[in-house]
Order: sequence, then structure tokens, then C-alpha cells
Amino acid sequence: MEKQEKITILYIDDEVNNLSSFKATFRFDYTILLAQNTEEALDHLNNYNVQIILSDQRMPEITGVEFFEQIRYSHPMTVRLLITGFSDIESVIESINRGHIFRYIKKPWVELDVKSAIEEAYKFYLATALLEEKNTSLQRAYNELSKFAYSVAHDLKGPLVSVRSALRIISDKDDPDERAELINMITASLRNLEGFVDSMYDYYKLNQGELEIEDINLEILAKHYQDIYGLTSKMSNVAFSITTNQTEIFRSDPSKLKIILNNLIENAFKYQQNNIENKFVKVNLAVTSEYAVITVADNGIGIEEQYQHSIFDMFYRATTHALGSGFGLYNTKDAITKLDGTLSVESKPYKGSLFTVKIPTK
Amino acid sequence: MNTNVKHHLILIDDNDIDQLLHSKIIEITVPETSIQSFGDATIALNHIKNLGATSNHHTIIFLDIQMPVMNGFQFLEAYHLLPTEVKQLYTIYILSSSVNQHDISKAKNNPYIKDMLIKPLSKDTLTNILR
Repeated sequence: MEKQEKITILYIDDEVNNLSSFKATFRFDYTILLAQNTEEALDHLNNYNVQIILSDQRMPEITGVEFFEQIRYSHPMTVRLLITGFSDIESVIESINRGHIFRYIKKPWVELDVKSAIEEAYKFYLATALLEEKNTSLQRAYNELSKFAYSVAHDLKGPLVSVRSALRIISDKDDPDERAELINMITASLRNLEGFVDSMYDYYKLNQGELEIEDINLEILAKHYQDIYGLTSKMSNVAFSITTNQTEIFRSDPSKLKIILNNLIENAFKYQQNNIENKFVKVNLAVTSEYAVITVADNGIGIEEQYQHSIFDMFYRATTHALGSGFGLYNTKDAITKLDGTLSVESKPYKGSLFTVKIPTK
Repeated sequence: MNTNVKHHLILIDDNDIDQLLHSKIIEITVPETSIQSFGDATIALNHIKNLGATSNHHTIIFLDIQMPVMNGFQFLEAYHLLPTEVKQLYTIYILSSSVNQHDISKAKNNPYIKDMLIKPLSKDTLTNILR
């Protein structure tokens, strides 16, 4: 088996001589931690990633088996090996059968026995660790899927139901103004639906495949957003500016960058305050010292402090102000993570928000 | 405005399109109804709290489930804490597009929920309720 890092082994024995001879024998092959009592052992277990623990059976305050029973649930991943003489064999058999111990090593131990037990234990550790990791990621995927199904039922169906209601009402109305109003509602509903479908596709893309790294020209990117949001800015009476400052090459994945910018800018427009003058959305894109720094600032409704840590959760919505899908910032954060970047938010209710994204060049 | 108000209704739904659509259907079906709409359940709750037991008429509430800030079930938890003489004045229906089994059984087991209505709201359903 290929070893990238040394296996970390904790050996616990009340006899100092045993401890030192163990360390002397194995210190080149493994990282060895020593403990003379359970207190010291627990200290090591909590501070280091101990893969294998060996314990002497006969110790003054507690037996090795008893100690293993104690740590079995607090440190389930650590593989437990017991060192014992033949006289204790009954209790050893029982604890092996109860699953407290992976293996036992005869006392006095010989180097070869210990080594082979450690190698076996490490294989077992790797297999269970791998399984554990897979289980965690499966559980995460499963949780997302059930959230997903729940939300799809609501966010995809909701707008369709609205459209159906609106059409039903239209057939009862003759007044052209009222009919026009209803048609506007239908359009708005369909736009919500379209936004949600776009976000779903972003989510899918983010979880697909490798990064595609290209040289990014921030000025071209800025022009793209100027074109898209120029009209929105006029219609919604929100001043929009996007500035750049690029003095060096920046390499990154353009589709992920766009997911980040689309969502942050879209939100800045969406969560404006209704009754104030001089509404604005200000974007700055800069590259310095191998980092791109994106800031998106607005003087919109802001985010209350209690919600600031939750806004990146899937399907979380912090306000009734606009009809968000609760998907946008989740995708944004996911895209930033995939680009090894960081994200911070400063916000005050009814003052505005400032999102700052830092992404290293690839 | 119709001076001959027979029914009082509160709509709690964060989707302003649905709020408007429901108001319109109600107007068409049962015109002698007064409607108050809330996009935020916390504001609706405060409204009910402030009115207290002073109101001299019964009010029907149509409550959405999935809403940010305070969702339908959180609203019901807070509603539960109101004095009985206030709660006597209201009948609550869930009005949601949710077909989620968990939501449905949760709603059915809630003592304050008269029934669960699935969007879109139909004229027949309305006539049955406001008859």
C-alpha cells in the first residue's frame, strides 16, 4: 500500500519502559504518540487525528478493554488494538466479539506481529474512512435532493398555478385594462418560472465536470453587464455603474464567474428600497496580486444581521420583499468555492449591502 | 366599495401575484366580501393581535405555507399563543400549491386548520366556504 503520510499511532501503557521501547522500535515507520494513563490518551485523541490506538490490557486504574469501550463512540474511526498476555484471554475474546477491539497482540510483543497488526488495522481504517466519506457525501446529496423535490413542487408549480388562475379570471372579464393587468401578471409569473429554471440549470452545471480555465478580460465582461443591465437600470430608475481595473492577467472559469456576477447583480436590482432617491448598483472588478476582487454594492433593503449567515443556504429566503427562489446565492457560493474564492457580505437594513468576492487566478 | 359586506377575509401570501389573483376570484365569486392582504405573516399576526377581541364579526384566513421570514406553520405556532376569545373570531384555511405529503398531514393535524385548499382557488371551493 502506498503511504503518503505516516500513520499516527497512539500507544498507552502505564509502564514507561514499554512506552520508550515501543517508540524506539517504530518511530521511523509511524508517527508515535505515547500516553501513560487514559487522561493523556484522551488528550492525544482529541488533539491529533489518531488512526490506530494500541493499549496494554493491565493498567492500574482501568483495563485496556474498559478504556476501548469508553472511546468506542467518542472516537469511532480509530482502530483499537489490545496488547495482552494469555491470562486475560477470556475477557479479550469477549470484547473482540462485542466489537470493541479490532485485534489483539500477544505480550511480550515481537516487532513483526505488531507491524502486521498495524498494517491490517490501517487497511481497515482506510476502508471505513472511505466509506464514511462516501456516506457523508451521499447524505448531503440526498438532503439536497429532498429539498430540491420539495422546492421544485413549490417553485415550478407555483407560477404555473398562478398562470392558470389568471387565465380563468380573464375569461370572466371584459374590461381591457383589467385584462391587460392580468396578462402582466401572467408575464411576471412566467418570468419567475424562467428564473427558477435558469437557476436549476446553473446548479446542474456547477456540479458537472471540470473547470474550464481561460484568460478573462474584465473590460469585455463589464461591457457585457453594461449592455444587459443598461435597460433594467433605466426602467427601474436605479443608477448602474460597472468599473474595472485590470493590470495583470486573470485566468478563471468564465461560466462560473458569470453565475457569480449574474446572481449578485440581479439581487442588487431586485432588493431595492421602493421609496428612496438615488438608488444605485455599483460593481467593481479589479485584478491585483493574482486575485480578482469583485464588489457589488447597493443601497437597497439590506439584510438583517440574524439572516446574514443563512442567505447562502439552499432555498433560504430572508425577505418577502421580492419573490426570490432561494437558489441564487446558494449557486453563487458554490461557484465561488469551486474557484477557491472567498465571499463576504456587509449589510445594514435599509442602508444597503456590499458583497465582496475574491478569486485567485488559475 | 360594497357597503353590504357579508364576509371578512384575510389573505396571507408572500406572492403578490397570487394575492391579487385570489382577490379577483373572490370579487367575482362572492362580491360582498371584504379582503385584507398580507405579504408577510408577521405583519398579519400583529394585525390580529392589535385587533384583539374587539372585532364584531368572524374572519376567514387563507394562509400560504411556504413563505420567508415566517412560514405558515410558524404563523400557526404564534397564533396558538393568542387568547381564546381572539381565536374564536377566526377560521383558518391553508391555501397553498404544496402537494408535499408532510405539509398536508401536518396541516390536517393542526387543530386550527379547518381544511387544506390547493391552489388555484376555484369558484366552487369559494362558494362552499363563504356560503
